[in-house]
Amino acid sequence: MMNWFQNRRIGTKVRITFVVLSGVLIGIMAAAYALVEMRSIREGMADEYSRMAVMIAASSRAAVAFSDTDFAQRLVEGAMSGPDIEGVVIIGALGDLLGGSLPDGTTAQQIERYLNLGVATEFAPDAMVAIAPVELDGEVIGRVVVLAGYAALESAQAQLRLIVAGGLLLALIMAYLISLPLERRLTRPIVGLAAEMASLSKDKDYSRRVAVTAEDEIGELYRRFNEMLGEIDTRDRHIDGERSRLEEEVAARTTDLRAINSELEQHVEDLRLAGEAAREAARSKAEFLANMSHEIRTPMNGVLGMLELVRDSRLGSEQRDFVETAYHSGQGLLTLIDDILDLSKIEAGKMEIATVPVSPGELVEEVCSILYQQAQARENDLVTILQPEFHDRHVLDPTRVRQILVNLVGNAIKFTHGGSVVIEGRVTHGDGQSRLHVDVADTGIGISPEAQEQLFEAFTQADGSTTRKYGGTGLGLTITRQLIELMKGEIAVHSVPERGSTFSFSLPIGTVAQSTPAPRLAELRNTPVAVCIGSSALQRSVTSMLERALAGGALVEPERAAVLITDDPGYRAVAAERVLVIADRHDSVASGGHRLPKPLRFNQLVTALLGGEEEGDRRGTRDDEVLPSYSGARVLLAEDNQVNQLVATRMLARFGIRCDVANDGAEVLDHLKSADYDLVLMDCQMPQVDGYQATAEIRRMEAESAGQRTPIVALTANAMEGDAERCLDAGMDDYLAKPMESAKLRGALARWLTLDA
Amino acid sequence: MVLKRYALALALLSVSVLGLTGAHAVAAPDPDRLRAAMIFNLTKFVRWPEESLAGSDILRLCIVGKDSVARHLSAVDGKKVNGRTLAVEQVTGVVGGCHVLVVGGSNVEARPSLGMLTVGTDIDFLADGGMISIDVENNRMVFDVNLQAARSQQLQISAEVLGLARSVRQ
Repeated sequence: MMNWFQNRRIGTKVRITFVVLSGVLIGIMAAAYALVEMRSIREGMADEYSRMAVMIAASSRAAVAFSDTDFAQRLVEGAMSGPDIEGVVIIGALGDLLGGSLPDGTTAQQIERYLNLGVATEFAPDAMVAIAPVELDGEVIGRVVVLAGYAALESAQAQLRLIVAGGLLLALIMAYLISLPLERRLTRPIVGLAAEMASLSKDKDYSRRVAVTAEDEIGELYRRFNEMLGEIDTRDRHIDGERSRLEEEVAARTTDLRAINSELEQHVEDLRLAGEAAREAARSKAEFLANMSHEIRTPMNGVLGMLELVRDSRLGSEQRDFVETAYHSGQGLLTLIDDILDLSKIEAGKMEIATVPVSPGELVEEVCSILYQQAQARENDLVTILQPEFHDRHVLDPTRVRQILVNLVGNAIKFTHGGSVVIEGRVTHGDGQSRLHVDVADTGIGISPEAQEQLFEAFTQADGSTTRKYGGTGLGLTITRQLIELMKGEIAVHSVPERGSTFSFSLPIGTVAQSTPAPRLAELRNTPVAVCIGSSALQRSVTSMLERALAGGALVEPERAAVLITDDPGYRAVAAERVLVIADRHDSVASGGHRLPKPLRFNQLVTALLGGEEEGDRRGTRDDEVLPSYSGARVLLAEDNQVNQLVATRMLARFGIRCDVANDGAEVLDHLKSADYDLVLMDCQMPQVDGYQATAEIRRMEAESAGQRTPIVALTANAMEGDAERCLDAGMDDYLAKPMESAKLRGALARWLTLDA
Repeated sequence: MVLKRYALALALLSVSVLGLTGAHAVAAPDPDRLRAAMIFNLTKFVRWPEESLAGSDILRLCIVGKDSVARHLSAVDGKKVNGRTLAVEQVTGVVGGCHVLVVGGSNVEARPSLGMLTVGTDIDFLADGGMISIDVENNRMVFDVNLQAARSQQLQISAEVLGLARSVRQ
């Protein structure tokens, strides 16, 4: 309610106040008037009936004195004709009724009560009572009671109420009408001021002033408002001044900033140019390295090829040692070049990661086979402990993983003498990702904590003297780390100086559906096998293999075993059907025992368990090696370098091949026009017409003449990734990376030529 | 209306039992007693000539002849009537100076005298020059007035009383 009032317009407030005030005042006055008037009406009534009672009493004096009821009754009848008279009673001195007429339902008790009132008049609830004594000669001889109805009184009251209500209504209307002009006079200045303020806040013209029309509080308000306007006007002017000053300042600063900015831009541009120059330099360096590697490989090809030929010829033991040393030094040089090339490829971001399903177990065993002789030479045990799942096929880059393993295992062998190198492998699963974990632990010289920190930096070994003592490029660990990071893996080292080092790496790998175990593994499942091995590392290695081979079948005591595996070459006297002895090739094995050659390979173990014979040594010894003969084959060699021509022809001669030689692509085409060849060995880099162009031309000519397709094998010194694809794209069928080695050549010849009958 | 009046009378019986005016104890309705009360009341409605009162404040009520009412009238002796003291006395022969003369029996001759109200007991009394006679009719006390006789002796009887009389001789 209060809120409602406060939200009204001022005019409404004035009107409401005025009308309410008038209403209250007039209402009070009307109520007072009504009260007084009502009282006078009642008094009048009391007077009237009291007089009537006195009159009746006077005229009934004799009747009462003589107890004349007839007369008294006549008097009563007469009195009853008066207005609003409802009953009249005349009573004698003894309380005897002399005459009376009463309204229905009046009781004796009521009459008695009236008589006991002792007053002249009484406004009883249902009627007014007037009582008068009947006196005779100063003595009260009886009483007269008159009962009057309220009808007249009530009609008078109703009339009064009507008059008061009408008067009040009239007064309110008048008050409202009077309030209208009054309100206008009161509110006009305030409303005017409000309108002035509204237009002011719209126009924002603070220089305007309001005209003062009265000298009351509102006039004062106008004056104050004008003062306020003046104040605002002054401030506006002041602020305008400040603003223009600020604007000037900002403009000045902006100019300064612009100058600084353009200077900065110049710097950025300089930096960008410098960066581009640096990148260009880096690219040039990478290209230079690649080119250098190629340029060095070509002569190295000659050196190594010649050394190999020399080594395979009849030599005295001293000379053979010299040649071996020279050959290994050359191999080392080539490795260094390959490492540098790898590093520059990784740093240039050109290294790509292949994804091939392959068994990491076979990769590890292959690396062990490669490095086994090296380990033996340093009297180191080389042992693999691989979790069964590690032998399953997983998706990874076999080339890079092999490279990493060769680096780590090679290092471990290199820095250990008369100890052991243990390779532990396992596969874990978690977060929807499988990981390959490999630990390579040695018992070698270890690495100091300080050296561990920069172990993976380029060209760093444990210390400068290490390189001199142990050889190596110092790039192996750097490349390893970069390869692992490229495959989103991690590598860590844990080492105690003089106790050994453990390199651990893990890689995310993809999973492939595993084929069911080979049938021959199923045969093994219930074979009772016992293991009796002295070396604990070897024992764990064999146990881990058996775990997979026997598919969880338990090992048994030696007395109950059908197959016993031992590393004691002199082992005898057991009940087992078969005794498998883990031994080096040249160690003798007791009769009845079967040799398990070191390094132990899973497939060899399975074969041996099944009762298979020891596989023959495919490599054999060089001197008595018999190479296959292809004397009937016609081979064309395209090679511009004369040393390489010599190496290649000599190598081919060992397979009974006498080849024609072309010095460039043009000569190749001439030769092909005059004769048919079974195979073309094509160097890719040749002057004038290179190998790619020559191949394309050959294929075009063959298509024209519908002639037979001549197999072409590329000879390339570009060991870069993508070279193979480029050769195949050009129409060649195979490729051989230089330097040419007899083993690789043998494989290629086997693929493309037919053996002599 | 009549029924109501009876009801009212019954109601008022209880009122009388309560004894509103204790001065008049009510005994069995004795005709003499009622006649005595009527005589006493009548004196209140009569005005005597000043000469007869002669400055005295005594109002003499004389009983002549043998009347059984005398015993009851003596009860009002000494009472005030219109400011005068009532003096009740038995007289034999000399009745001069009496303001009210109650005549017992018809054998007594009541000679009219100035300012003397004569009250008898039968209607013939009025014919003999008596002024008021009190009689019993239907077990009610009634009275008759010989106004002429009263006026001749300068006695004024109030119109109120005359309205109550059974008959008034002019």
